[in-house]
Amino acid sequence: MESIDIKVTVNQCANRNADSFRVLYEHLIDKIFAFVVFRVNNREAAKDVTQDIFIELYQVIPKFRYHSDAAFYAYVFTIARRQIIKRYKDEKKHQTTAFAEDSVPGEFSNVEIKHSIHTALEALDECSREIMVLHHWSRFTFAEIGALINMTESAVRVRHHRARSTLLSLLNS
Amino acid sequence: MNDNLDNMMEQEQPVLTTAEKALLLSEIEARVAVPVASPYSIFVRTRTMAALLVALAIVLGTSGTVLASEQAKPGDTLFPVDRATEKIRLALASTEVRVRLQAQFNEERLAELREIIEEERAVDNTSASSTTNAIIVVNDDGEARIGAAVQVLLNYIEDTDESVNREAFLSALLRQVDAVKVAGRLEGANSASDDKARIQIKDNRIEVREDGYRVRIDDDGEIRIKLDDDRAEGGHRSDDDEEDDDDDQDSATFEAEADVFFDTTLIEVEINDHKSTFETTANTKEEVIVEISARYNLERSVVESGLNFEIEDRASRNQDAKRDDSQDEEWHDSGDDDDDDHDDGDDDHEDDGEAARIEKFEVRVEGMTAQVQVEYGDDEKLEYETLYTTKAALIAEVALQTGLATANLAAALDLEIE
Repeated sequence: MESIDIKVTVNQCANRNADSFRVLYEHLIDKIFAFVVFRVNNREAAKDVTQDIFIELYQVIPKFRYHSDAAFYAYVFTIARRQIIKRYKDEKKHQTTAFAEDSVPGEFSNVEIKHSIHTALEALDECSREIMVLHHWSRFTFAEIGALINMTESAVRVRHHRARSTLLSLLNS
Repeated sequence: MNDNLDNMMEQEQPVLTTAEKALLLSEIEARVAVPVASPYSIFVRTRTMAALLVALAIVLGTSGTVLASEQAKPGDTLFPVDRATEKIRLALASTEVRVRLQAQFNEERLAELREIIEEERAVDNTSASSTTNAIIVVNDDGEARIGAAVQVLLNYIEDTDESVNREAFLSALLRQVDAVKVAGRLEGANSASDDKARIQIKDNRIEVREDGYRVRIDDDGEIRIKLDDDRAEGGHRSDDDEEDDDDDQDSATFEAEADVFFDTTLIEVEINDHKSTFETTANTKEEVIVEISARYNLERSVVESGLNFEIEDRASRNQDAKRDDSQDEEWHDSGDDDDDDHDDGDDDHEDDGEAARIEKFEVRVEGMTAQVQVEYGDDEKLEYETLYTTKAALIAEVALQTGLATANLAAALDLEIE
């Protein structure tokens, strides 16, 4: 975990400190983008959604009261989920295809690996898939993931382990 | 192969390039009117961050075991993984015996974990342990110990012979850890899927009972919505309980309200108009259900359907235990959206020195989503759409975003269902 003091940074952001906002952006950008790409399956749409998430975060952060890092991440991911839903609904309304759930992601460079990992991830249940993404891509600890999805750390660990086993068997088959 | 999977996941992590990040940040800053930083400074920072991430990735690759071993308490001898002996026994055994032995070892591991979980049980609801999926509440230390034990088990099963049914072991393990809840953590905030609506069809009406509210559709087309727990802060109540008198004429009536405070839980039970109250240490819905079922010799399903479960964001006060009986249920006409039920101006919030006044907390549930509007404090407003549609989850979400106390939000909530 990049060592920034979330409490201090968040409080400074609340006071509209531009530098602190950039620090927070750098701390969160990869975590959020990975999660969003995984949910929207489209790199360009994911960039838009990520942008909206940070804009909303900037707007509402003065109202956030810091309790713990995990609570802050949960707060950010609540915003992220909401923006993903919003985007999905907007896209649906406009009947565009840019945000199709099954569209081919533009993210993956190595076609063979992309196909296998992506297909294998798709085969997992939603909860396990989210745990894999949050752990390997968003780089959250099991305890943090527990806070994000309202589960105990142990439950996250076991699901993660089982998801790994499933992925391995799928990739080997 | 495990490391290989980590590498594959690593390679496939969707990341933005430095340039993309810089562009995105400048767009964000332009939209929120923050001065744009020089591209160079961003480049330096993102490069630094990339380096940190690489370092992080290297550390993460091996952190699971390391973390777990750090968490395992020294002297915790209740979880001896005597693998060396076991391995010798397995090596000496024939194939058939080996499979049986391994199954036996697996069973022992799970039993040991069960013992640890039982030892860490923070609240005595042992009467519930005989029921399937009984919830066991532990405290934070308990969770840490269980977490360490679980990691040992995960390492153990990885180390076993391929022929062993690992999946069955993991499923059993998952069942055990899923039954563990940590005391003090809000339940239901993210588990909308667990909240099953209960629908009752009676002679002249349909009732839908959800977590936090009930919707009743009479045969004359009238729709009424009852909020189960809008009495959280002792706000205005109506004595209009005649609506309930015809409720369940055909059977004994049961209603209960549990208010979980930091220090205690107060339970008020009403059976056939006879009210009684008691205090308990049970502080989860499951424990409260078990406790009421045991005390009044009631079916679990009856208790579950009639229980109004509230987690209060404060310690109890004297007046909590002596609630006026006139504070009865209140049915809201669905069309009446300008009532003053959430005018909590006279509520006693003095325990929360920085409690902002909630001018408005309206939620309109439409299908799978809900529109939320909150006005509070000095002209603060929050409006958004969410997937959460249960009262508990909505309150938790708004509390998180606004910093307002959940009890105050519960009292102010005006819920409308389309």
